[in-house]
Amino acid sequence: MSLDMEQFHESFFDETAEHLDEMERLLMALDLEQPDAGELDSIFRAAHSIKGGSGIFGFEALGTVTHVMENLLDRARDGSLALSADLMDLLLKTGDTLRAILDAYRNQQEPDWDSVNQASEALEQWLTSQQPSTENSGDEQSEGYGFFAAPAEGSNDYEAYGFFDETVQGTDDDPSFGFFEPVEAPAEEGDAFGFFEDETPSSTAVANADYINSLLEDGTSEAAQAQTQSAQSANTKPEPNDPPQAATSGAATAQSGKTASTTPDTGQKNANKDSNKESSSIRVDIQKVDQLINLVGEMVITQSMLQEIGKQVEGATGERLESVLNELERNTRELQESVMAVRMLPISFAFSRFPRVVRDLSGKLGKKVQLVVEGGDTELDKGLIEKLTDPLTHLVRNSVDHGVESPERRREAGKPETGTVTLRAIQHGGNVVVEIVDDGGGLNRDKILEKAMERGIDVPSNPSDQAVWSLVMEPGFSTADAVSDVSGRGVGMDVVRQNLEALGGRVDIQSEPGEGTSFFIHLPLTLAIVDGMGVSVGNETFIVPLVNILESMAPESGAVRTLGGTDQLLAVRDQFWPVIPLHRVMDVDEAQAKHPGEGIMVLVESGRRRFALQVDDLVGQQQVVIKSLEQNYRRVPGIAGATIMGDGSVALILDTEALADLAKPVEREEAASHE
Amino acid sequence: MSNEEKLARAANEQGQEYLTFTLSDESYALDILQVKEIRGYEAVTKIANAPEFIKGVINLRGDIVPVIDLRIKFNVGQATYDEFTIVMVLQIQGRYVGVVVDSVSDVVTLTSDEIRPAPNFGVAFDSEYLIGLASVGDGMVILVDIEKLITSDEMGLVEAAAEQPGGIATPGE
Repeated sequence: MSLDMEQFHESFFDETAEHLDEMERLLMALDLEQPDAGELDSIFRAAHSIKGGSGIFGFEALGTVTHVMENLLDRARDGSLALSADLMDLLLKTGDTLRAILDAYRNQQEPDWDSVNQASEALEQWLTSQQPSTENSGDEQSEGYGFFAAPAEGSNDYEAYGFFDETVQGTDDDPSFGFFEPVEAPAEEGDAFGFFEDETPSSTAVANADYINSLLEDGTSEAAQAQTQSAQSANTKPEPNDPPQAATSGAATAQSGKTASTTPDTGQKNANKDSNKESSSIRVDIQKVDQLINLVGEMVITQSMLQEIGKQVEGATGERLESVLNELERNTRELQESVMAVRMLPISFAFSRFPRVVRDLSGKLGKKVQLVVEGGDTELDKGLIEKLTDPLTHLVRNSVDHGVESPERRREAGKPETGTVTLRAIQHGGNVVVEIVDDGGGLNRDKILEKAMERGIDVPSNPSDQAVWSLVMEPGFSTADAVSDVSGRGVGMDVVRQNLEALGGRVDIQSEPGEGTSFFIHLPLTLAIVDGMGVSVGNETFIVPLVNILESMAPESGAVRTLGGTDQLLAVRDQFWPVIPLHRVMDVDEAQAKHPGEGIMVLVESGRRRFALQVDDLVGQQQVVIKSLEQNYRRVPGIAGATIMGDGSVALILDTEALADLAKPVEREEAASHE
Repeated sequence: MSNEEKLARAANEQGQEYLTFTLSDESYALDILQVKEIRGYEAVTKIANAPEFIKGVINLRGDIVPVIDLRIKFNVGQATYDEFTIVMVLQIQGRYVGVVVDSVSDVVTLTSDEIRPAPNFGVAFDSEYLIGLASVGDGMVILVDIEKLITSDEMGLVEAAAEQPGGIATPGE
């Protein structure tokens, strides 16, 4: 049995993670004043689905928490529970707890039951603290405890609690006693309400005493409050009791009748929506998709070869063949585009977490920040989106922490107190540009320069603004006055740049004092494609990632100087660049390669290295699909991967960073042998 | 798969099918189930700083596949390339590798009775990579444990092997 179930675990985990993301997104978007019924329904459904799944697979901790959460949400959605920012906080935190539990189960560990119990207790307390107000609106809805709602939803798919019938009867007779009975019942049963076990016996006793007292004083409405105390609510917010708590048998019956009648509707609606969702997407192993992409790529090459052959056919047959081949070309291209699109996801998958990040962080820092998200439907490769999340998080946190000023400062500067951080994605040809823009104080040129000197970072004399801004991405650089736990440890920005460069992207910074800072991340559309420059040496063609190329030039005579035997330097505008002859590092027959003075110098910058790559010719710029060498062979120093050219041949993609490392020992060796 | 297992497999009544190929004037055979396809030699893309017997990589329907020349590796015959040069694409432990040979001759079925122990000398391959000898027709074929050979450190075709001494040293190391 357990074996049979385990194969579904992974998809349950995935789905649960998606439900949690969805829940968080909806919670963040929820209008507290006028909550959208549909959205509340969706949040409820997410909790409900998690609960249902965890029940099936026996993930008790998830079920426990989502059960209470679901009760709370159910009350919120029927309007008997007022929404507030505090409640949102609680629900978001619960979401975090659920994620932690999910991770634990995913890693086959036992979840942290303390946090599980805490989470469900916190929710439970909220429910009970809202009790009096619910009582008042008792006309509309059933009583406040979660399990009171349960029977109302019984026709949906809740567990029918045996004690419900008694409870209703109890309520009929005496509304106040009606509350206490169900509290005890689950405790005795040791059902999902584990958190009641500790407090129920004593608190009930106290509450009973209170109840008797209050009954003596002024009747049932007081009893409701006594009951509230009994639940030991931390955030009790008793709202004024409007009409006295006359939950007569008639009212009680009316309630159950009403809820019962509405239930089938909602149930059906849920079912409909769920089925829509299921049929609109399928889960596919990513390897299957990649295989598809591979095959289509091959087909494109075959098709172009076919087209070449077709051109050689003459006469009437040739014409017919040509039109058919054109048709084939169109279809092939469309097929390729559609297949590539399978891996693409809207970038909102990466953006969706940021409203939460900004909200939490600005709260912590005492700043007022609103996040504007634009272009969330811009599509990016799935792998890219996953790897983009961390650098983006860092940049967004950085904008909130360092970019946006405190409300006082903003007031002084004549700006609105609430700062704005804009997250924007735009597709730009074969690239996607992600912008993180804040309207804060901007970067401080002098401070950055001062800090850079202090940290011993090389600074060119009289640098351009652009050069100064890029200093913040240097390793070990941080301008934060105080090291906070938010940012300012000086690790991060350089890691951000490294990570983005590893994705084939680059970062530009723009900043205006007093007006804000913008980070522009330029990314390729997919991880599998790189913008490259084809260079040739001898008979071989290599691809240099365009992101690493500063410029290419045919050196003037005398610009290349020889140093200590073999090492060469290229003088470009008063700067000297070490020359790496590509034919030497890539082991191409030297006889075929051109003399340094005749070839082309490609100025390459990679990480912190700069060098001039000496090649014979530039073949041209093109987008190439990256293929792994390791799949069938092994890693090759200086090579990042391979690609298949239009004619079906293989070209190697250079790893510029490794190339610099590769060149050094070779040069040293040769220099040594010359001595 | 160990030699014993291979022999055990070969011991079943139907015997096992082997593909025979030649290197110079020696005749070899390998388990046909490991042969993915046979194709003509085409231009390869050279890999920098790789040993001479690794000719480079080719595009096999979107996969980048290394091609090795056993004639160079074992120093038999002349490593010439013309339109008759053959590349056997093998699938070994989930990886593809192309092996250049002079020609591919035949498919033979051999049972374990027909396979005799390999000699320690007289053939290009180290006896470590041989399963045994068998007579086919009026000639003799040498059965090669191609899986063991390809994944060996000596070939340096897989990552782990390359990092050990004797594998392909990266320049400067």
